Amino acid sequence: MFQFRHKLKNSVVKLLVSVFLFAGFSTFDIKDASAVPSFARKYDMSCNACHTRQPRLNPYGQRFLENGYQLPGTADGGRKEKHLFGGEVNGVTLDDISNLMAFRVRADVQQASYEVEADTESSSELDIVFPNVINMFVAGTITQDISFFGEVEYATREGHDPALRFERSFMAFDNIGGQQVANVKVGVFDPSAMYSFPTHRQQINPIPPEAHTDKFPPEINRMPLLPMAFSSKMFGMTRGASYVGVETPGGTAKSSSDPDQIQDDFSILPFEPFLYNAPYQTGMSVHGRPFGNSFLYQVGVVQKKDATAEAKTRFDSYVMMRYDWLGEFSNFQVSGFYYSAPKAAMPTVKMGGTLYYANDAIDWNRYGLAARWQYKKWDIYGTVIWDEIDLPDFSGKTAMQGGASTWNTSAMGISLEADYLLSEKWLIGARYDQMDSAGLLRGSTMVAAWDRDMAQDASFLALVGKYYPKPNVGLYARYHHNLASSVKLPTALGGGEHPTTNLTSMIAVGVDMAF
Amino acid sequence: MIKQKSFLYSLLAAMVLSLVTGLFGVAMAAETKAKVKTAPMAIKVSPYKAKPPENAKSIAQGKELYKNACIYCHGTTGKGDGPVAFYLSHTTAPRPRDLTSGIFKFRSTGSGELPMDEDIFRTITIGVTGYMPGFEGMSTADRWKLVYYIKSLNSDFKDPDNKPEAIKMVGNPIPSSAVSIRRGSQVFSNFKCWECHGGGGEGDGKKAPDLKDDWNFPLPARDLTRLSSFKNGSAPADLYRSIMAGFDGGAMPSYADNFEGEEENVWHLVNYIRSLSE
Repeated sequence: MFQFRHKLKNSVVKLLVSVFLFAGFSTFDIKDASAVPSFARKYDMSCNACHTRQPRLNPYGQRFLENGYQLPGTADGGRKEKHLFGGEVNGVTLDDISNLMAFRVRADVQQASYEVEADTESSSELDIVFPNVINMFVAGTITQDISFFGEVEYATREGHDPALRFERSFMAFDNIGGQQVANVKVGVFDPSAMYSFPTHRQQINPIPPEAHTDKFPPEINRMPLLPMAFSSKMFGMTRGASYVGVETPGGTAKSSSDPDQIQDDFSILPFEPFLYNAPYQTGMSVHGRPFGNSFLYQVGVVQKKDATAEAKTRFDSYVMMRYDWLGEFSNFQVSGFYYSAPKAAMPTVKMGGTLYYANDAIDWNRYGLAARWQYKKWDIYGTVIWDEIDLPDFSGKTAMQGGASTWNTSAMGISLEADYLLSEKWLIGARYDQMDSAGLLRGSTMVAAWDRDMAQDASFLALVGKYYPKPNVGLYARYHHNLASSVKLPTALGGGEHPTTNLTSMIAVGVDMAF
Repeated sequence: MIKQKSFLYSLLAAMVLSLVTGLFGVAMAAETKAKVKTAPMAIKVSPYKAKPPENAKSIAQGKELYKNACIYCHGTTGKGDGPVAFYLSHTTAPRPRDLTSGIFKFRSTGSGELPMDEDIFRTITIGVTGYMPGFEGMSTADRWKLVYYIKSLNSDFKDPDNKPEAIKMVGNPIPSSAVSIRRGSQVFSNFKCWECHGGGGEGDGKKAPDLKDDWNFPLPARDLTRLSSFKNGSAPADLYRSIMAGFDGGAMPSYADNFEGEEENVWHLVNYIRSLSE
């Protein structure tokens, strides 16, 4: 486990290094990688029984997930004997460990191109991080209709220092009241796991931002590359309660230059996955198909701290419905959800180096629609997500305290992806992302240099090619292009390039394997 | 100082991960070894006594079970055209079985015949390695109902003149010995099993690249050195059944006629095949 970074100036050398590494991965004969992750081992199945290609789930994998890691139509978690061809039929052995535990390793080489200092110069950077992310999963069934999942992630890119942390971790109690009637999940999990466009399981792995979220406005050195429909989209929002020293809403402003007053994750990054689409939410959900196979319901609550000065416990709530249709070599599904987050954010305006808060935290509502169509070699999916917030209340404040600030309360995001299996081992895909941002537009119309919207839209096009020498090993090359990179902002706005225009393109080659 | 601490934490984390990975590797190796050396419990042809009645009601119940458990691969009408079928494999066999065709690969009946109810039950129970999970977690009664529904997809099952009969298992498994394995090796050679399975049984015979199933999909010859990958079971009785019944729709024919009167040689061949994994 190690990390090393190079900044090479010669672009020819960079290109050669990338090509060499990709070629090396491609020709590497992974003979010993015939082992497959734990569920596949447990059932003696190919990865592709549940995945279109890793990590995306096909309809069978979705139903396996819904049923608490039990085969659809069964409650087989209670069986004491696990059938193994050529193996023993018996109780707990080392074999059980391999049936419960799996690893996923991701690593890549990235070549990012940036716009620096508005439109006067540009630069690029080669970033080699190996391995980038290692996940260890422990998952399975304790007994009939009781299942569990735990995930530990070691990431070298998320923060600035490598870090080991717990990610998803939950228990599920399934088939309560009858087969498919109610499945209860409790713990930390991705609420959108059953949505037609789940936050996880993209063929293009998200690349997180490089940002300091403990400052406002956040210092974003590199825009993330993830489904932008999931982004928070609102500029000017903070988690309020984490800002130590806030006296009362509308009370004394604090300077962002005082580091002792600021805790981590103070800002709500305009690009971070949020609410229903935040992959690690603590809460409880219930889902099932009591009315037959076509309709899936999901309701849930998420426990968070609200953004008021008191930082009280808040409960977000959500509901999701999905309709499934199966046909000849095809599957179509459409989902819709509503997510309500009361007092989820504190609107903030920074004027003259000082932060000013709105009089109260705002409610944040999210609506989403998604569809997925699979037909033979095609897998096409997309989502539209709308965000609505209350109009921030700066009444009673002077213009320099945000009283004359301008806000947009509606935002939208679209993410569309199409994947195509060229052969058993090759997959190509394209994704389009559009983020119509909102939130803080202008701090004050009285300041001429700020007479421009701070909230900028973002738009990316991505292409990906994946090669699977084994079903559990994916080697990929991807290219992202910022369609909005021609938009320039004056450096007076926060003293640097705008994050939505900063990154112009990125090429990455890497490996994503699970075993 | 903070950076130093972070580095130490990272190092510790890396060591823990490495240790776990190492243990995991040992566990995997142990598992593989165990799989190769031992055989599964043989699932006999007719041990299932709690058979529910076969009538319209149980068939309808079987249909509901099918819609939950089988439809994704075998399709809404049972033709093997479910949405997952394509992802399992779209250029090579095996594809999910077309349950309406009357062609069943795993039988204890003669070549070209319909399977026994128990054959379908057995396949549902133990699955097909690598492709179909075993549904041991489904109740016995439900598995029977599934059998009845699957049979309802092909009218030949209703034909009284088409009643399938199990092939006779002549003799009993012969304890494996050097003599028996040597005789089995001769049988393997005489019957030219090596043409498809290869001289070492690794599925690399000269005819292997050209093998196709009835639907013209390339079909790899079985690697006989990997006992755990045998789709129709690897116990002696399973292998006997595979050799004598063949795989309808697949590339391996029935050898029942060839061994008529010499069934003992089948048991020697079984011992030889099983010895290839040791």
